[in-house]
Amino acid sequence: MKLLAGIEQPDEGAISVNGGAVLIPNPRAALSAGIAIVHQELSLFPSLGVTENIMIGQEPRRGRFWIDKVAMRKRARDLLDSLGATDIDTSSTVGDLPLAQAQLVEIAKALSTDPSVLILDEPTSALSITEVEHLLSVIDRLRKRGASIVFISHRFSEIERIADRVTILRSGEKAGEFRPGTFNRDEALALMLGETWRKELSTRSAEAFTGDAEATVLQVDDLTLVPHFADIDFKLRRGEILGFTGLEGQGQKELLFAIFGLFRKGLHGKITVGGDHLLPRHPRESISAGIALIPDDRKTLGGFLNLSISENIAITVLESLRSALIINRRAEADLVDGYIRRLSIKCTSSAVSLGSLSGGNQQKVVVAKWLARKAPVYMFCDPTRGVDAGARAELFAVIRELAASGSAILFYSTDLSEFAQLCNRVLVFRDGRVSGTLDGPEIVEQNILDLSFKEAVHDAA
Amino acid sequence: MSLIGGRSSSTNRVLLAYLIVLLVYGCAVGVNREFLAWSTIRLQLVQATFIGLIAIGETFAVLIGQIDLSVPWTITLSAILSTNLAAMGGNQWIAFLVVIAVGVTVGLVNTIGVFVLRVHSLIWTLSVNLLLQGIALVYINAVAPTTHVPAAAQFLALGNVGFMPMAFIVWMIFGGFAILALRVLPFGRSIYAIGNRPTAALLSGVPVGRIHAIVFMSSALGSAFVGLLLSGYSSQAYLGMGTDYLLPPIAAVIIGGTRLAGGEGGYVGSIAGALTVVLLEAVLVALNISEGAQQMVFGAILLFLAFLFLKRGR
Repeated sequence: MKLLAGIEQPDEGAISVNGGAVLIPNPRAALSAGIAIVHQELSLFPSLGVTENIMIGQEPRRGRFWIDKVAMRKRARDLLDSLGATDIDTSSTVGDLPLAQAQLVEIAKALSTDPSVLILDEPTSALSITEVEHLLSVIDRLRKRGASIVFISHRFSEIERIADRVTILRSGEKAGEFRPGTFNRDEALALMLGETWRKELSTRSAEAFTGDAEATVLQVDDLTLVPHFADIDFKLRRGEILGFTGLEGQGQKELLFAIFGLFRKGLHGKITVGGDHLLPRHPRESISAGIALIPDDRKTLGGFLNLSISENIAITVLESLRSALIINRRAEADLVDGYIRRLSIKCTSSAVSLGSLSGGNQQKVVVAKWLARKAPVYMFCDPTRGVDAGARAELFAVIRELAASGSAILFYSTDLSEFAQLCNRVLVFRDGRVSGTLDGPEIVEQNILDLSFKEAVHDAA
Repeated sequence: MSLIGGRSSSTNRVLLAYLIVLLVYGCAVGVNREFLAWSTIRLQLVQATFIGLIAIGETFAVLIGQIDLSVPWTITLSAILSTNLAAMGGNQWIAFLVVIAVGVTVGLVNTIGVFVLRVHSLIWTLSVNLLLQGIALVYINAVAPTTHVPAAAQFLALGNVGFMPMAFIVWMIFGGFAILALRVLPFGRSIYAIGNRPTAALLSGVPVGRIHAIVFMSSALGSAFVGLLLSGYSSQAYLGMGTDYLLPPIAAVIIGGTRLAGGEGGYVGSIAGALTVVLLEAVLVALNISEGAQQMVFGAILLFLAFLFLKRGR
């Protein structure tokens, strides 16, 4: 996707449009090659008008300098009409439009370059069912006019409704393909999960929690943060690994961030840690209550790429490394070397910068800095993103070890196959609410997807 | 970790800054033999002290990715208020209390604007500078400035200990503390963490607000203290006395190898930067060219140095 958009460059291989090979060094080149993309996060300018957004970068000119506003407005109107969006006023401000209409504006913008190929990246993820239906009929209409469309979605019902040909991708590789009319949900699911996961599953199935059921470390009651999640209740016990699963972007990540105090406003409900109530407004409140968060983006949230491994790990425990006023270098070195050995972080010395390590080793450093805090509650937010299989296995071993030594773990991942390997229990999230709980051996991807797709399944039936 | 501090790239920058000092000093001697005389060197060291003391807080501010432009009128207001109130109160130590009060207040106001209200430090501190200018003008209109400057301020600015100027000794003491604070205190670690990646610092539990407050207070306290020193140096406090101290300290920080975007650098380099700025000015004076030409050449050289260092930062 990013290759086609010109955001990233291929290591090898070639891209052809209409039979001719093209190079796409930047997003502009993608447009002139005839590829238009509607991104999952809309790329509109909220404070500009509908017309200006649709025509941005290709305003019709009158003379050399003047923009031909009349022609511009007419072209925008035509594009919107061709999508059946006659109700959108071209003079309204994009920021004021509801999301579904903004999405149509985005599609009109993509069509304004008259592309040979239109790519839609999960365009339905933020839409309601009626809005989805409308969008699919727009896509149908475009197809009948002869447009070539790539439609990316996690939702089987939409794929069944709209797609001629289906390609299943898994971890960056093509896992399988369905010719027109041959799509089959069970087969597609098997392809999405992949062989390796099946093997892992056969050697290791999820185990139910066997520790002390009364030893609640973290309790969450009626926690709500509009518009991300609502009425969340759960108890987390000593030594338990609780997963937040479901499709991507159903409020799981925001819930973890909220418990860590990253939302100053709008958080309601009750969080109890070790008997104390808290509704954190700042990470320091959560940290001193004994909560650690390993965030999903280690480059901007988890670590300091230009600082040394040592400085990265010690940052959470600076106060306790002090003798008198000064940081005790000896104590710091002992601590850091201990974690480098324990997590087998591959590096030449603890003085090299974090940025010089591989993704997996960077992530281990981020984990190490929180291990140093010896927190009662650890929250892992998609910790294996961009991490190779070996480092992933090592990370999982560390998480299990943490649980075995009495910490309580909250775990969220965008890779559904990870929950069965790690968790004792999972909460399945849909639209910011818990749509079901799975315990021990019930944690099977089929069950997770059933609970995540509940509505879509009814829809199809 | 090397002795000079941190990663090899920033060590190289510091070495380069000291090479530049030597180079500029070589030029100075080439232009005028007077620069070999201790009396001339002594004079330059005192001048560099004023810039160097301000550059302590400015180095901290740039390291966390901010800037403090409220320096000039913090200097002036502190000088006028401290000398006047000390003269009125009849006790010279009142001047030092006033310096601390001005420094803490300006530092807190800057912290509130930059950290709490999230206004860009460039805008906020420059506005605070204007605000302080207004306060100074109002005050001067109401109360005539005193010609009586505390003896302690005069000693700090003009006195000698043996052959060493007292001001330079003060600079080295505060500078030494600044270097140690950045190297061995949790404060220093937090500064580099914030400058490197503010979001990651927040998520690591770094006391981001407290660090901002300390940084802006040390910058304002440095400026306020230099205000008192300058009034001791010229035996008076007057409007506009801080005007020439807006950009030289920032130039010193950048020439000293601290990255303007923050997260990298330190005070060791800023010392070389302060010496460079002062020597450059002195060389241009010694060349005996017109004041306008001096400023043009000075500006061009600073631009060139900034370009050199900003390019290395990429």
